[in-house]
Amino acid sequence: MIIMQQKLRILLVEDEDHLLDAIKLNLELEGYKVHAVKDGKTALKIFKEERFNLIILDVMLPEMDGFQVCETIRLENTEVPILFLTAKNTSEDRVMGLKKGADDYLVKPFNLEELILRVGILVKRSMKSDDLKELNSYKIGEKTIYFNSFELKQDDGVIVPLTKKETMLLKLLIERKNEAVSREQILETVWNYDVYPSTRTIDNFILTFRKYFEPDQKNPVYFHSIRGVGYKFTDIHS
Amino acid sequence: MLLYSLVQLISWGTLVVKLQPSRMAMVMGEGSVFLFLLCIGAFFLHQSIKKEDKLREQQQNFLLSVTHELKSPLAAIKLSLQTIVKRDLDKARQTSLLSNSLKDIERLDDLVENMLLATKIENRSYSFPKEEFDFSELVGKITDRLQIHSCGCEQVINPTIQPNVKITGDPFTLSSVVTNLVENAVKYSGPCAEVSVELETQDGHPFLRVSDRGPGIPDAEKMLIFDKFYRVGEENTRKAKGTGLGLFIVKEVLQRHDADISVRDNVPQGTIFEITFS
Repeated sequence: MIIMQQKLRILLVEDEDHLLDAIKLNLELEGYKVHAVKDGKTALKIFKEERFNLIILDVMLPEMDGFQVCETIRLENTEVPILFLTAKNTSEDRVMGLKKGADDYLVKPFNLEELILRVGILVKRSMKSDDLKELNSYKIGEKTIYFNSFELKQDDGVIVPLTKKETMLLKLLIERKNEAVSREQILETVWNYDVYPSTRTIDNFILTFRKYFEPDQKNPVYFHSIRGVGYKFTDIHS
Repeated sequence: MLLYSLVQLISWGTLVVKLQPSRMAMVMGEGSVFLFLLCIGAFFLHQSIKKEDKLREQQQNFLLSVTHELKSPLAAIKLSLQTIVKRDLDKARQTSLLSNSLKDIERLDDLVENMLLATKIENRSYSFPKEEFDFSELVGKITDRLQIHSCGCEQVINPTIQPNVKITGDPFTLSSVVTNLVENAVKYSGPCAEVSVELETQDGHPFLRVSDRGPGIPDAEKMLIFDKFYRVGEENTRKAKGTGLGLFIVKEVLQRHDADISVRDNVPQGTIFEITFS
């Protein structure tokens, strides 16, 4: 599974410096990779650029409040778990938070143990939903990709070996078909930030994929480059 | 209710005119006066409802900001202490968590102090015990104290204090005035932006000026900022936190000292507060 190869990532949005530092420290000590930001607008920007297993959101934030941030995230992603961490403690506030699409709501001041347990449960849930989506093979036209054996079976039955990175990139694009996947997300998932390939490297992978799958490489129907963003896979057969 | 009165007025008027058509002029005259009074009443009623709504909204905002202001430092202190108890941290990390907690405790203390002072001023249960004291020393002490908290990278509060400016007043509440003004200036300025505090004597009167390079205050709101609970902008998305009590305290304390406060725009941006003591 791709996700197991890297640290679980959490986006933490909190405008109080001291609280932000203490939560970040604890989550890092629990083994999570934490990206911490202090306002709603930056949170949305980072969310669009990277993938996270959990988002922890304060409600009263500068620029854009937490409820709005949650609503905006839910418009394009219904799966990533969201935990509200806020001083607003009335039942109306909780209902509002859950209505906006949050998965859990924790009121300040909270217990460290409780926070860690809830984070653990939510992250586990996000991984389970990733498990369900686990793909073993995928058919593009008459060609079949076997992700576990890193192979491509062509329409004439000939088996072509795929490299590990090719398989991972194919899987990422296919799992998120019809969605633009940013270069940052590709780098993070496939290269795991250990080597920084140039944009050209990713382009070369896409060119290889086009060679494998596209009937006409000049006019691709499966693998599209989206200028300034990244790449998108569309399956014309499904 | 108003509509009912109006319908009653018209129907009685018509009835009287039908019975005694000669009294038409009298009915019209009295009717107009009554209608005029009714309109004035309606106008004042509307104003008072509007004022009441505004006050309710401000109180709601106050509750919201106090909830945030009380719970955020409490949550940070609790989490920091629980972290020290649970984790095996090195000395540097422990010290950083503890010093953050101490700052949060001071913040809570300031908040409680402001709330108590505002309540005492409103109840008129505070007597403002006046004495002659060195205002320069008081302002110097406050700028020194806030300097330490305001910024880690460089000095941001730039005090120009004329020595030995004496004043007759209540040192406790006047120190709250200076603290609130300087804290506001630091809070609304960007990180490491300069806040200047100037104290001098102008025509024999002590004069204090606090200028910041923050976003400034819109002209329409300049007169409202001294109202109790009033805060500029939306509560849920505000950058700087606070309760809306600070400037209310400033205004009330200065009134009790016969001092004037004025607020104007700084150039190129920001706000200047000026206090002249008589």
